[in-house]
Amino acid sequence: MTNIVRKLKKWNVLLLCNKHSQLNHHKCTVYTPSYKRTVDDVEEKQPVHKFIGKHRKRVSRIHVCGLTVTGALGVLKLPLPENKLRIPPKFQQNYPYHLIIDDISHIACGYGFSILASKLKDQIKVWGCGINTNSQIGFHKSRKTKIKKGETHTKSYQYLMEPTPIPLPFKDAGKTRVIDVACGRAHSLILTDKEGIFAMGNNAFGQCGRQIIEGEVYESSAKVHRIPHERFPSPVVKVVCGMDHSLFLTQTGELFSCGWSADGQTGLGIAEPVPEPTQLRGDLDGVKITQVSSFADTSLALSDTNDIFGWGSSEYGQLACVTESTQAMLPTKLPFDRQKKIIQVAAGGTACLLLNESGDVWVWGYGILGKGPNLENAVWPRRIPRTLFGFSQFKPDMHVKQIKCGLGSFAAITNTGELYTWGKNKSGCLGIGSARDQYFPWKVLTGFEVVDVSCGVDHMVVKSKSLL
Amino acid sequence: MVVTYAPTAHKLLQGVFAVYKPSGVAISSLLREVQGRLVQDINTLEQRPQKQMILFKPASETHLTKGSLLDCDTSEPSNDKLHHMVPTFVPDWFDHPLVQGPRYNNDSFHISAGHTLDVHACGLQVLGLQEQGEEILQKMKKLNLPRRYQVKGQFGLASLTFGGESRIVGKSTWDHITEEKITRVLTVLQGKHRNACMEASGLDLSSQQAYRLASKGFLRPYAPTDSVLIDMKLTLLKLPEFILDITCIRESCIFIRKIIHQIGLELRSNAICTQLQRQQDAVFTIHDELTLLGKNVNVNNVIDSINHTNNILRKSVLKRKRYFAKTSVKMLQQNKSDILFPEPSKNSTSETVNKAFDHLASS
Repeated sequence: MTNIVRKLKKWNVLLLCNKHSQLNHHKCTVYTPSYKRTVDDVEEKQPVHKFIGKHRKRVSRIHVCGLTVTGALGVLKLPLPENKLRIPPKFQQNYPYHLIIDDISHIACGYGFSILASKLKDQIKVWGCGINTNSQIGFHKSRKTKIKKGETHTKSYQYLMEPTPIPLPFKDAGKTRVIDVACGRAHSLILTDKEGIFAMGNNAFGQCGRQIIEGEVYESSAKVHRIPHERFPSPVVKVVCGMDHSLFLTQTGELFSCGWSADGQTGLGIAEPVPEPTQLRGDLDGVKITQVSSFADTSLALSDTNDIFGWGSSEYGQLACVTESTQAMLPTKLPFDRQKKIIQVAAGGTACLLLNESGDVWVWGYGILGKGPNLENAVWPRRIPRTLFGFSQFKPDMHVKQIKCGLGSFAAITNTGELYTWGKNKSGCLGIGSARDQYFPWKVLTGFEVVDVSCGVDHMVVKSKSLL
Repeated sequence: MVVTYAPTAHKLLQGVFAVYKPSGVAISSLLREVQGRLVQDINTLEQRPQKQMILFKPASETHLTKGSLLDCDTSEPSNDKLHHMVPTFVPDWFDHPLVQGPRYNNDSFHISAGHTLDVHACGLQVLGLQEQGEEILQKMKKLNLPRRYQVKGQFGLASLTFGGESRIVGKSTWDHITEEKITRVLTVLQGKHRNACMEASGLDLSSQQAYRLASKGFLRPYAPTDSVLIDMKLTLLKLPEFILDITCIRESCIFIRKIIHQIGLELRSNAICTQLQRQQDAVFTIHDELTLLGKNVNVNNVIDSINHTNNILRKSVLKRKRYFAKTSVKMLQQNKSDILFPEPSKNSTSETVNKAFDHLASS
């Protein structure tokens, strides 16, 4: 057809289709080529582009959201942009922001600071950013202050606005790897496989595992306390930090704690601060613990016999099923009806979460629990409907794989790599794109497959993997 | 039940039914074809009898005697047969089909289409007959019910209109693509739509009602919004070709083809949509016996189809009172229907939602 059209046009014949010639129209919508066909237009001669190779590795990424001012996000240009006239300072990051840092394997959020650790055997293994008023991120010599005559005291930075490498006193850095990181209110713990636990920060209650020194100044302190694995009956596998206490889980399932005990956080039955890691007794005697969790003053532990133990503060009714008082000084078994195997427990500031093997999330405690604004407080666990996590008739395989608790916020990761958060949206820490409180699980749009999440008081760090 | 009498068939041919539209056929020609077939078929049925005309004839010409039909004048002499006029029925030759033409023509069937398909797309097309059909179609449009498409695509090519019919603009490699990568990309692409879907429901998200509806899966856009994806699933992958199942609300064919193009870009390759087939439109499915092919469109089939849809639509979906009641939702859940739709909130603050609600209430 087109060849005929070209020939007729060449001979200057006015070509109209039947319809238009009958109606005496002068224009027609018969296809006439209006451009010159070049080599690129012909399909066979077009070049084939290769954008990506077959064996490309997936890259891991870190996303952060929440309060930018403390430096916990590790982005300097958000609260302090270079060009203030053009870009206004941003105090809250409501949606995930990509933090450019490579090879991070473990993330931990504390109260206004975050610690990122890599698995590599380099000299520098750990990076930290955020509040450093108690030296919880280590000693970083400040270059701004001038030393007066006669003074030898050197100052450290009080706020680290970008991820800074933390110097740790390794005996042989090339032979050891970081296994776990944990952050509390003003202290942090870094667990390595050969050299034990490095504890930095505030030790006013013995949470770093060393003797309490009266009148110790924690600001600009370079003290890093090392607790070797030999101190425990078997090597430590996991460290968890509560607000002012620390928990250590060994390979054989024993649990040790140290720190503040006024609310029974250490679970040792005494109210004085405990400076040395001591084994927990109570209902935990002879039980092998597989998972521990704590964020504020309440702690939960999961055993291999599918039992849950709780101790610590019960101000908000987290342990109201076992005790009527506001704290449980010794670990007590929580009498929940467990029909299925429980995979994870998470204890937050005012509420606790539970995850079983079929992917159901159960919540109890006080606050924005995730079952709408009407449910403020629950003594016994209540199940959050699966449809809120993306389960529907179209996706019957969706279930939750991992849960984490912050102070007032909660996060859940599904098996498809989607992140759902809910709770109190303090300074945009939920990452949902707005500053409103979220009363039921809402999907966080990172654009990547989410692998790990850590919730802090007013910020959140997300570890994800690229799609390809 | 087979209808053989044309006037009853014409009365019954009012409502909504579904037809399979082949690709390459424009909607206007599809409507004309259906109309033409119906007209052709209804003219073969038994028509109404020819009309009779009343003529006054002298009594002598008829076999009738005085006093049989109409007793007119008793004062006249009884034996005057020549001058006495009697009314008789006579066939009205104006009304014969050979004079007037066939009883039914295209104007007797007012046909309208539901959400239309592209020229190049194929699949289910909902049509409405007469004014009742058009009303039902308009109500269905407001309900924002989901539609399901089966999309066949090919990796490695990029075209101007994202489909197979326009010229190829770019080529790229596709051997790095695997099923896992595609599912990851699909979950990420759906996330934004999922959140937008919930926010467009017009409900305050910090209310208990929003939580209640979201936990049942019924938080869907109520007011008119942009196209929203509900679900995307990969059913078959045979490189470089693939088949996707897409469920969406208020979409257009170009929107779906563009999504295929975006999937290709996310996978660091290119993709075109080679075939787009609509498989489900609210209650109508393509595998139903009563979804008619062009050749099967005749009066009785269409009447059966309209009856069937009346049973489904009227009971649970269209009637305002039952639609907003909890019982209808339970009924649908029991019937394991694929339709999920929201309940509006009377306390909602958005203007568009209130307007839509009032409009539905008045209709």
